[in-house]
Amino acid sequence: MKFLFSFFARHFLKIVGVLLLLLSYELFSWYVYIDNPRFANKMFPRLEYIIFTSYPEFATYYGMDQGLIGFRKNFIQATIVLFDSSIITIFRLFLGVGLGILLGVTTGLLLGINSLVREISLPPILLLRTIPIMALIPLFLFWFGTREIGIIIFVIFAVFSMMIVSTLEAIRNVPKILLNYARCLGASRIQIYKTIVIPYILPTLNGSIRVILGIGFALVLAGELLATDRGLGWLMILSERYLQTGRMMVIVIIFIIYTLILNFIYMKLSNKINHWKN
Amino acid sequence: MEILLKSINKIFVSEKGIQLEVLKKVEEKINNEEFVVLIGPSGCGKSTLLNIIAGLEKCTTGEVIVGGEKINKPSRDRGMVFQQDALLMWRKVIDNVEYGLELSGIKKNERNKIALDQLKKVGLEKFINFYPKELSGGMRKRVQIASVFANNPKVMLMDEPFGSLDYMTKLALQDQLLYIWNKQKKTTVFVTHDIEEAVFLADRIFLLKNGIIDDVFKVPFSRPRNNHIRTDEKFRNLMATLLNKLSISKEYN
Repeated sequence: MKFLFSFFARHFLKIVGVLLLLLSYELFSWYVYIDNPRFANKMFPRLEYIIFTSYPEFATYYGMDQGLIGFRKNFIQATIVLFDSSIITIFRLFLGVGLGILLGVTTGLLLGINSLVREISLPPILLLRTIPIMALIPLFLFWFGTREIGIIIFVIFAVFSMMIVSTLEAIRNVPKILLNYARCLGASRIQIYKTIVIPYILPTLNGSIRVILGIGFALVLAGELLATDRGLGWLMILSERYLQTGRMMVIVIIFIIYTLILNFIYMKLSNKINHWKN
Repeated sequence: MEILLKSINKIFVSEKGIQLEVLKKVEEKINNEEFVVLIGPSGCGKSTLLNIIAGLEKCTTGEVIVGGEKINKPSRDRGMVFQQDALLMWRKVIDNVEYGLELSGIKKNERNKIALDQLKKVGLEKFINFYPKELSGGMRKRVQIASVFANNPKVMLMDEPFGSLDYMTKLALQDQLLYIWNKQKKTTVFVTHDIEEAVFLADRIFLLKNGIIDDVFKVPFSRPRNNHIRTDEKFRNLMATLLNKLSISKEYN
């Protein structure tokens, strides 16, 4: 209880800002509703409609992939549906982004050891990155299938290409004086790499990872929008097909909450690495 | 460890193809455990010469012989203290001082002992668990000096290490440097453009001008030295002579 109170106290202004935003939307949607009740719920559903009508409607999707139908709307089943889909989407996110970062950083570090190799490999990789990534979704889904594999590989590829450039650039930007200093202390090339280059570039990589976390959700969502299977993106598509704006808003709100939580956790973890760089 | 500079010549080629002969024919001998200061106007090549001795740069012709061996790349035998901050900001002070020893594979207990010893000599034993960014500029310099001394090089090279510090801190550090140097004498080459610093620290002063060592001055003070020699007549006379010699060259800007 005390924790919650201090949390609110510290972030008071931010909370006020968000509440004001919600309030303005609510006022706007009420205005539309009073003006034209019939179409208001399809265009700009009021918050109470979103929470008390759209949310429980998710129960109707329960068991859809198993061919079950006919569930009436209720909160508990709606939560189960959303929870299941969230698990799937988050799984794809973690696997895709995680492996993408791992592969990107490892390859970057391996290529970066030799400056000649680094200079040769950078241009083609940069070229790869200029391809609009969303345009590749259909290609990947065709190559790898619209099930889990296709979406995950797509995310891995997108994240990989971003991380490898980040890594190579960061290695390039290690200050020469640190390298000279290590050499005058008797360090071998490998030792310089392990004790100077890698610790030095960690905060920079950290910055790149934060950006990637931000768009990671978008990447998974994009894949899910095209691949009709399961997950939050799939729920979004279904809702769109039934013109249920309210349900789409529920999904959006859920996404926002997840992103905030993920960012928060990541910030806590990454503070340990970053503290030395201003 | 003796240092022999034999006919060192260094030509820089700029991007436009313009050749700049920074060092013409540097020929000199530095004796074992001697503290030599290399002084000269800005741009005269003193840092370049130091880098060549360290092995960080190669001379165009000529050779540097340290302890009977010709050198061509950096090694832990020739430790260098740089003007800018070269500390590893992500490591604590104690880990920084241990760094050189870590590179040679010395065990943790042994490393710790040596590092603590060096930190005591520079008066920073209370700061062993601090991070570099929590220290002042002067303190960081002291950590750097301790780090290089801990590695026990045969030769100490210092490239304007106190250049970025204020006058009072500079005086304190010069004092401190001589103190720890007296306890573990090493052949030292120290580059500076501060004349007072040169006279206070050096056994001999090499004046680098027009790409050669134009003049060599012997400093007539015995060791250990302390601050009151700074106002001594001989001290100020030597400074005046050096100043005179330095003001003439306007070529290098």
